[in-house]
Amino acid sequence: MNDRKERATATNQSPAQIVDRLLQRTAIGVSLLTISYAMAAAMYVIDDQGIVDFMDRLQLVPSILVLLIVFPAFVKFARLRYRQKSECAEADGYLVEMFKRASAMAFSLTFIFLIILELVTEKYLTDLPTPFFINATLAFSLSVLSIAFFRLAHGDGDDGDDDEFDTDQGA
Amino acid sequence: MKAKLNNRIRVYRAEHRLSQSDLAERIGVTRKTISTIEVGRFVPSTVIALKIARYFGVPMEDIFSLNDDVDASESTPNT
Repeated sequence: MNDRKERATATNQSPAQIVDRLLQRTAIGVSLLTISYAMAAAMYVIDDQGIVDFMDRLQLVPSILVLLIVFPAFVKFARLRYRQKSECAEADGYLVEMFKRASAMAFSLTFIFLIILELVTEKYLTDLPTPFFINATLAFSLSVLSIAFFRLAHGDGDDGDDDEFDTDQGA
Repeated sequence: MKAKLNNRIRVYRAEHRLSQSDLAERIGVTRKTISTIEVGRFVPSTVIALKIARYFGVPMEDIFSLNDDVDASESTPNT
């Protein structure tokens, strides 16, 4: 009976589970994009043309992975939103809150990063082009977002085990 | 002073013989949300708190309460 129940919940995800899954996959996608932007920034400081060409090709991998990971979850979410508009609007669970906190943290730290960058570039790094700084800032911002989300979402790992009080409820 | 939100969800779950997953499913959130509320890591929104109270058929104050060590003057209006 428990097997049947577990199988049913695995296939029929609740709206809250679909929203949580989209957030988790978005965070994974964001961390992959961090790698992509970091590589794009690094290409401006690496002199070896062979390595730059290799990194240019390698940059495609995270982008494809992002599509493969995030897109299916997004389609599920979009279908849910189309079917059950009201339930989606009320999705204010734990992971949604953690994503909001991580976004706020990423915004604040990116702001500080930009101020530091402005001070540094007055005397140093003056020969680097604008795309380097844009890519570096995006990489920093996205890395903060993903790290903060995973830290907040998993925390100390002590979220308690599920208590099985449900003995013969229907009886 | 930062007030801590206590809750008695676990007690009510035990009374109703509900697992965290069952309660989560019935009020439209994930198990993680219920478990983090129970251990005090997550302060639920008013909507979730009201849904939990409505599900158990009790006033919200029966399930959620502020910690007793909060300064009483913070919550008492001047007369």
